[in-house]
Amino acid sequence: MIRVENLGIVFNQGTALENRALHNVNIAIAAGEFISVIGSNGAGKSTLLNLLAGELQPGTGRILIDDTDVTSWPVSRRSTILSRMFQDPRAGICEDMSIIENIAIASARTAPRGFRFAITSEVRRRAIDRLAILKLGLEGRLQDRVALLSGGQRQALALVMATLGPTKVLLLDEHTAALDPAAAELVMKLTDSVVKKFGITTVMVTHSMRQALEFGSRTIMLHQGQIILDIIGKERASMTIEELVRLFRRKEGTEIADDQLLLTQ
Amino acid sequence: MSKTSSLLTGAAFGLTLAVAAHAADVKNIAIITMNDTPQLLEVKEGLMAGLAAHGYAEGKNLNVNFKSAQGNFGTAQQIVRQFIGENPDVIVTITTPTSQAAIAATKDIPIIFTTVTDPLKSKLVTQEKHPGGNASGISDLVPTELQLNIVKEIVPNLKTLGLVYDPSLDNARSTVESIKAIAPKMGFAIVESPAMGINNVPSAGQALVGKVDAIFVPNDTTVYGAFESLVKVAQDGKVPIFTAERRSVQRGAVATVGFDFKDMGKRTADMVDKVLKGTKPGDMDIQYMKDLPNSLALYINKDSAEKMGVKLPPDLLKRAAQVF
Amino acid sequence: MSLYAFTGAIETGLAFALVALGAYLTFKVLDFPDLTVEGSFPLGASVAAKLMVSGVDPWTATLIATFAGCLAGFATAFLNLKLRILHILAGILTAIALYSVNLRIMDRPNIGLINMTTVYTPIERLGVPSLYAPVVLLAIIVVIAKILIDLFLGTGVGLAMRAAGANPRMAQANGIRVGRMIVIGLGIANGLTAMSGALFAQMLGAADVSMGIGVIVVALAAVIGGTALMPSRLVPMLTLACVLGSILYRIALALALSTGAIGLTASDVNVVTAVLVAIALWLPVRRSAFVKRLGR
Repeated sequence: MIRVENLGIVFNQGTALENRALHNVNIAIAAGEFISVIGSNGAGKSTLLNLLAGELQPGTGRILIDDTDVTSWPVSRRSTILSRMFQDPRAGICEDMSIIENIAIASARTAPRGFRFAITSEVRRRAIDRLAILKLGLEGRLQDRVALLSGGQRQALALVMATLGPTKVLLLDEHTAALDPAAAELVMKLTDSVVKKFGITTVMVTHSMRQALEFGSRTIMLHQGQIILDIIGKERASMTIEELVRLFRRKEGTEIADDQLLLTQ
Repeated sequence: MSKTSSLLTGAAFGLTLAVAAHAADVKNIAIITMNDTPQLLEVKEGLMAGLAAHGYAEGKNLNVNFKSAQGNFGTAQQIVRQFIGENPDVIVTITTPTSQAAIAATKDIPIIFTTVTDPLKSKLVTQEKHPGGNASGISDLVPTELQLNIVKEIVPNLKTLGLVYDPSLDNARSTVESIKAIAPKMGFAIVESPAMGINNVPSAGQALVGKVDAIFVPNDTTVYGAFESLVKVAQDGKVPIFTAERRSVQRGAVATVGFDFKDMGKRTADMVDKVLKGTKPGDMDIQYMKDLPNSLALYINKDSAEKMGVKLPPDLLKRAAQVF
Repeated sequence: MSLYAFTGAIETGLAFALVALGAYLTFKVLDFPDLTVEGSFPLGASVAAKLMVSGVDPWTATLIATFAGCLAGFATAFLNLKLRILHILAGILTAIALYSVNLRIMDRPNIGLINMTTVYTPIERLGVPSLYAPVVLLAIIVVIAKILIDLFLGTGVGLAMRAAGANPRMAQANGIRVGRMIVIGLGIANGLTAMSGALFAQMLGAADVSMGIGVIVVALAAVIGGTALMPSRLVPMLTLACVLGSILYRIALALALSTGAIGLTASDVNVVTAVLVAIALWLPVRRSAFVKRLGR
C-alpha cells in the first residue's frame, strides 16, 4: 500500500546547523496495517510524517502510495488520498465554524468541490451516524461552534473528519500528546475502534512507548534519522518497555536519553 | 376691533413684513472645493473680497457655507447633497470634479463654477454662449501661445521645453495638450516630466535638469503645493521656470503673462452677484479669465531669474506690471 | 439634516456597500488584507465611463467594468501566489499600476458623464423622482449581491474559501487548494469593487483617476464598525452588518457635516471616521461588561 524508498532529507544543508534528519529510510506498509513510530526528540519521526503528508519535500528517495509516485504531489493533492490528525486540537478544525460545517468541509476532501450547497441532508445524516459512535453527544450539537468543545472533543471530531471519506492512509501526529490523561485515553480508544472498524491503514507517531506497543500491529523505532528497530507479530506482542529499552541499548551502544519517551504512560 | 388691538395687529403685520423682507434680503451661498490647497483658497478669498465689494457683508446680508472635500469623492458627493438640502441661492464650485458632482445632482439651484479649465470637455455645459441649464462659470484656460512667447523672449535659443505637472489633474492635462499642439510650429520640442503626487515634484524637476532649456508649469495644485522645492531644483540646475499665474512668480518663477487667482475669485464674484440679483446662469456666457479685461499682466521675478542664470531683456522689465 | 442629505447618505452608503462586501470577503473571510481596492474602484469607473462615451449602453459598460475588476484581483493574486509577494504589498503594487492603467483607459484624468443615459435613467423614466432613483436601483443591486454572497459561502467552494482563510493548514489537509481560493476570492471582491466604482461614477457625473483615494478606509470602517455593532457568527448576519455599516457611516458623516455648530468641517472627516470606528470597537466590550454586572 505504502512504500518509502531511500527517503532522506537534510535541513540547513551547508551551514553550521546542518541536520541529516532522515537518511536512507525504507519502509513497506501493507494495507490495513496499523504501525506506530517512536523515537526520541530529533529522531526524525515527525519529519517522516511530514514527508508522507507532503508538507516537506525529500532530498532523496520517493514515496509511493498504491504504486503511484506521490513524491511531487503538494499537500492539498495528497490530502485527497490520505488524511491526518494533528497534535494541536486547534489545528485540525476551524474553531469559528460549526461542527456540521467542519464535517462538510471534511466530506468534500476526496472529490472536487462545486457550487452546490455543502450541508445537504446526506451530509447531515452521515455526520449524525459517525458522531454517535463517539458517544460524546456531539451529534446533537451540530450547530455549535467548535470553539465551545474541549480539547478531547475536538480531537474526537477531527478523528471523525479524518475517517469520513475513503482514505488510503491515516496519519496520526502525536494526536493525544496535548490532551489530559483521561481525554487522551478516550481519544486513543476511539481511534483504535474506528481504525479497526473501517480497516484503515494507519501510521501513528507517538511519544509514548506504552502507547506504541499497546495499539497497532507493528512498531518502528527511529534514531538519528534511521530505522533501528522494526518489530511485528509475536515478537512485538510479548514485548515490554524494558525489553525495548534493552534492545535499543544493544543496537546503539548507548542509553535512551529521552526521559519523556521512557516515562510517558 | 379696539384701537389697541388694531394697533397691535398692525404692528405685528408690519413686523412680519419687515422680518420677511429682511429674510428675503439675506442671501445664502454654498461653496465647495475639492481640495483646500493655497491656490484654491486664494480663489475663495478673491470671491469673498469681490462679494464684499458688491455690497454683501457676511453675517449681515450674506450667509456663507464653505466646505472642502479633502480630495475624497464620496465626501464631495455628500457635501453636494447637503448643500442641495439647504437650498442656497447659488452654489459655487471650485475645480472640475465638484462642478461635475453639483451639476449632475441638481437642475434647479443656480451653479457658478470656477477654476475649471475646459467646461465643454468636462461636460459642464454643452455650449459656450448661452449654455442654458442652471450652470455657468469662469474657465482658467491658460493662453498658452502668449505664455510661450514670453518664454521664447527670455530664452531666445529655446530648443527643448520641459513640462512638470500632475497627470491626474484634468486642468493641468488640458494645458499640457494645448502646449504640445503649438510647440512644433513655435520651433521647440517638449519633454514631459509627470509628478504623481506632491512628494514627486522635486524629482520630476531634477529629471529635466540638463535635458531642457526651460521648464513650464501649468496651473497645477499639486506642483504648486511644493513649488518652492521645484524652484530650488531649478536654481541649482540653472534652468528657468515659467508658470501661468502671478503668485507662483512671486514664489520664484521667472515670469508669466498670466492672471491672478485672487483676481479670478473676484471675477467669479461678479457672476455670483448677477445670479443673486436674478440672472439665470444659463443666460450667462462661459467666461474665460484670459479674455476678461485687465486680467492678464506680465509679472517678473528678477531675483529668481538671476539665480536661474537668465538674462532678462531690459525692455521686458519696463513692460512688467509687477517685478518681484 | 435635510431629506436630501439623508437620501444622499443612504445612496452613497449603498454604492460603497459593494466595496464593503468585497472587503468582508478579503479581510475577514480570506484573511487577506487586500489594498487593490484603491485601484480597482476607479478602474471600474474608468472602464464604464470610457465605454459609455464611446456609445456602449450603461448596463453592458457596468458589466464589463466588473470583469475588469476581477482581472485586477487576479493580478494581485498572481503577485502574491506566484511571485511570493506579501499580500499587503501585492495589493498596493496592483493599485499603483492601475493608476497608470486608468489614465490610459480614459486617455485623460477625468471623463464627464453628465446628461448621459446611465443605469439610473430607466428608473427615472418609470416615474421615480430623480432624488430617489439611485437609491432604488442600488438597494436592489446590493440586496442581490448580498444574497448571492451568503449563498456562495454555503457552497462547497464557499466553505472551502472560509476554511482557507480561517485555518489554511487544515484546509490543505482537507484537499483544499488555498491558492485557488485566494484567486477566486480576490476576483469576486475586486469585481464587486469595480462595479461599485462604475455605479458611483454614474451617480456622481464623472469618472476620475483620483476616485480611489480613501476608499479602503471607508470600506474597513463599514466592515469593522458594522460587525462590531452586530456581532454574529452567521454569514448572512455578517454581510448585513457590512451593508448597514456602510450606510450608517455615511449617515454619521452627514450628521457631522450638517451640524456646523460643533465646528466640524469636512476637513475633519478622517478624525470622525477614526472616532466612529473606535466607538464601534469599544461598544461590544462595554456591552459585555454591562451584561456581566447585570448577571451578578
